[in-house]
Amino acid sequence: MISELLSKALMIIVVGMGVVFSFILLMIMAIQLNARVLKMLGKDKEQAK
Amino acid sequence: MNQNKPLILLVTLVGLIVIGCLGYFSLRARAISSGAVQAEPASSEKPVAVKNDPGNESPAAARPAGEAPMSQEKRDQANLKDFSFSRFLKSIVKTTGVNAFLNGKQTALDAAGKPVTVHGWQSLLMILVGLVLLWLGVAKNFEPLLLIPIGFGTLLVNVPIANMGGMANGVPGFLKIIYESGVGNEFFPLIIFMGIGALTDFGPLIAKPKLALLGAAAQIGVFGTVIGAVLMNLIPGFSYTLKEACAISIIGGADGPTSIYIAANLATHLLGPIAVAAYSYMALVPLIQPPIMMALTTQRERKIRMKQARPVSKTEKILFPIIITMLTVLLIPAATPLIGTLAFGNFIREIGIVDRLARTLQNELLNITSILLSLGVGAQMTPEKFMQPATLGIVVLGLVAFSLGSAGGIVIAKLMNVFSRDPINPLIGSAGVSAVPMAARVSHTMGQKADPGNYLIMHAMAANVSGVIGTAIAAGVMIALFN
Repeated sequence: MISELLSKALMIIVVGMGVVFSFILLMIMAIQLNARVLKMLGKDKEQAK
Repeated sequence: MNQNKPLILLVTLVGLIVIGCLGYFSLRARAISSGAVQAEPASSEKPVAVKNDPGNESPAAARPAGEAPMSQEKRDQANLKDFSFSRFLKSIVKTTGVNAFLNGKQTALDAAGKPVTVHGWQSLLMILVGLVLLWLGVAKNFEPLLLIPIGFGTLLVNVPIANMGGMANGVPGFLKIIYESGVGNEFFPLIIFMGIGALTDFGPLIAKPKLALLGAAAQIGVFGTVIGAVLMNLIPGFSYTLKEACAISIIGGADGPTSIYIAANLATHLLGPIAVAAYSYMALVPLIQPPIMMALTTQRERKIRMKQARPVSKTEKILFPIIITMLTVLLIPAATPLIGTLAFGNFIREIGIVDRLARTLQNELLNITSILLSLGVGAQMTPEKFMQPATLGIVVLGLVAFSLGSAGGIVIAKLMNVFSRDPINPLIGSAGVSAVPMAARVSHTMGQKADPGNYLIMHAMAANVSGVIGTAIAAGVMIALFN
């Protein structure tokens, strides 16, 4: 019983961390791409704080 | 006094839980004996309606089988005939709180859904728990905005006779209405997320997006604790299912609304203890994290000065909530309720043309919902749900999750420092747990202790807000796994 639960818990860790890191990496790429596109369009200095 | 804070909280929590466990075992023993008596009903103890179950309280159910309904006139005559001054006085005495605490018994459903007998003294003990929470919020200033309504909710839900958390004559009590209208259906946590979005400036994260990795790394505390909860099943008295383990481990994200959201989704019966543990540990960030930071970093690392972040344009800030919403929709739609509401609140803030809405989200709506959410959580703090060994496990596992998450962020920050061109101070890694902005402030303070001229706050805020996103995604993964 415990071993079955442990194997499922390990699966949750692998899948969970995988999804979280994939999401964050894609978010980083999207932010950088967005910044480049805005720079190309000359909108990066607009109302900068 | 400040140095005694962790000791006070720890002693209080452990004391309460030990008393709770004693109560639980007595409750279980009673339940077993009452189970034996069920076959031969005792004449002295009248059957009591099951808490939170209106069906058991209907007049038809209360009427003995086979008895024909009486006419109104006959009933009135019978009532007048039965009425006497001594009987009236007796019934008044029977309905006092003192009598209910001393002699009261109610049947309620425990975590496993089994009916158990709840004694009056157990309700009294829970009222004391409520008073302790009030004391922590008022006198010790531990998350007062949340612990005060939770404490008062705990006090009110355990008042006998009033039945504020259950049904009385088929009418739901005040706290039951609050719980069912927004806590049990996960509505209030989402409103809180809208408010958080409206309050959060994602600028530091947009300026240095790679720091978002720290928010992802801190989620090891969430997922790692699932294993801890499963291993706890080896200890007699503990028996967590995988759903319960996930609900408990989300405490590691140090995000109150997400913890409540997941608990309501995966393990409703543990909602009260999980919420209280999550908010207690969030209040203890300045005491839990510094020892971990000191243990995992060298003096030289703590002195690292980070490069100033670039300015972020308004357009980037406006597009950011759209970007994260689209990514969530494409990758993990189960997290959309959390990320979507967070993004909506932030969009309202950044767009700048609906200031009235932004102000409402940041103030009135957030405050009203916080009150209702916390009262609703307090409504779950009943003896049959709180006085059980699982609560003790939640306190221990919550601390493990929180510490693991803080350590995960620091370790990844050190690793990034090896490969990064710009130096990264590992102290900001611990801000990867949500707890906004407390965790970021702790990183900044620790950095200033090592080097008074070092300003880490904005960098730590980048890790901090990415932690909010990371925890929401982790929550989405758990929901997706079980639904």
